[in-house]
Amino acid sequence: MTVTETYTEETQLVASLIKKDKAAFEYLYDNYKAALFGVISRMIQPDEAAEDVLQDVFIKIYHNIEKFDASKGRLYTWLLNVTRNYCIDKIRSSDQKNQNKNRSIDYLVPDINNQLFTGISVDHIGLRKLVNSLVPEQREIIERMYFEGYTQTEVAEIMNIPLGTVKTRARAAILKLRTLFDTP
Amino acid sequence: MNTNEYIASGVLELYALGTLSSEEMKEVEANLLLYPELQEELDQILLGLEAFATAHAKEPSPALKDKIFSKLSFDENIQKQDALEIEAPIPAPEVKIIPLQPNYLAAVRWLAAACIALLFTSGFLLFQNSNYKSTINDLASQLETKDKEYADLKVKLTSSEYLLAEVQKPETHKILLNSKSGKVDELAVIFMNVKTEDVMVYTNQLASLPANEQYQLWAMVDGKPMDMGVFDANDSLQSAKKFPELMQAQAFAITVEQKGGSASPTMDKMVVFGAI
Repeated sequence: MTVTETYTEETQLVASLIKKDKAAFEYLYDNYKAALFGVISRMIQPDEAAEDVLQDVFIKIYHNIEKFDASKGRLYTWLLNVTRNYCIDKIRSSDQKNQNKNRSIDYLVPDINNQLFTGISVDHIGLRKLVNSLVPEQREIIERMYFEGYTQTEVAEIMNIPLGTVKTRARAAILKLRTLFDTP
Repeated sequence: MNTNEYIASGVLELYALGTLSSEEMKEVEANLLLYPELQEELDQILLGLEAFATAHAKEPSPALKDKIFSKLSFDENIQKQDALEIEAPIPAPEVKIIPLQPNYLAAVRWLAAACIALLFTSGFLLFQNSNYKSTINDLASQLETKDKEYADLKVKLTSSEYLLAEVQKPETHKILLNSKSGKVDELAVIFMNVKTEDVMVYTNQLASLPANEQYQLWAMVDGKPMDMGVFDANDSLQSAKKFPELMQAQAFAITVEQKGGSASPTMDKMVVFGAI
């Protein structure tokens, strides 16, 4: 996979999405639904509610695709951020947050056997192993920030650690996630 | 700024996770524009987070797709337009119907004339259609070029705005480096912030160099040249290397060196020079 190829494909896809081309939206849905639904269902439960949110998010993407700016990052990152921001807003506007706060971290660990993913062409089983190989403290920080939208100050309070440690642990965790992309 | 320390602090990770305040985010965004190595690092962080999201992937129920798509409306013309481009729309020209009369010759003449008219009209319409097609292709490629130009301009504008804000500060000193060979339009500008001790150099008025050469900036401290990094001619704004004696510099110079820079300046290849 070369960078240029991906870029051309992505710009073509985005151009068709802006034109409200049905085939392009089907491609988008088929390829990203599992990734987006995975994130949503970690933030919003039960699964029926998470599916309603995926519907809202996809309609939001449909209406806002013009706002995607390729010079600022990849489409996948943008889709994930639209999804996360929508969920975080939803959690904050309801009492979901309190329930999530009380969830034990073990509950947040994905169930490897129960989930099937065919959308994005990377080895997700390998990825899942990688995520599970993170030190528990590192994983908790990433999960608190990524899935629950906590700020560094809130995470520092919840975990009872200094602010600087939050930053260095977040960095250590993401460095580990990046190792997958360092090998060709 | 020491970009290595900045990267090691983990602030880019917090930026990528979206957990910084809007004030802190603006600061990070300004630094991303100034230091390309920070942008590269951020791209890698985002790839890591994409992997993290992918690791949690989970299929929604198959029925959801139809439910969602029934709520969206699409441009149905996209496919029809494609079809139109392939098949030329040829309206049938009017053919005068002549009742069959004993005068067959007249009828045959009319028919022949009508056939010829039909032939010419079809030919003309086909020709016109292919003209339209090439016009559409031209317009599409023009639009693509304009889109790219617009994106480039946006980046330039952001960096110009940043530069403008920087040079308006009273602590930012401006030093002009003039051409050694007397060329009026060959010059470089240095902006030195005496408070943060950051130095930026503006080199976009220097001539382009062969691929194996680069411009190198030097600070003269007590007559000794100190390396401040290498630059390309078309870079609009670049941050220079910092070192403790920098604020004691009496002059700055730019020389042409081998790609990657030299340990000491090649004095006869000095292009611009400016004293403080």
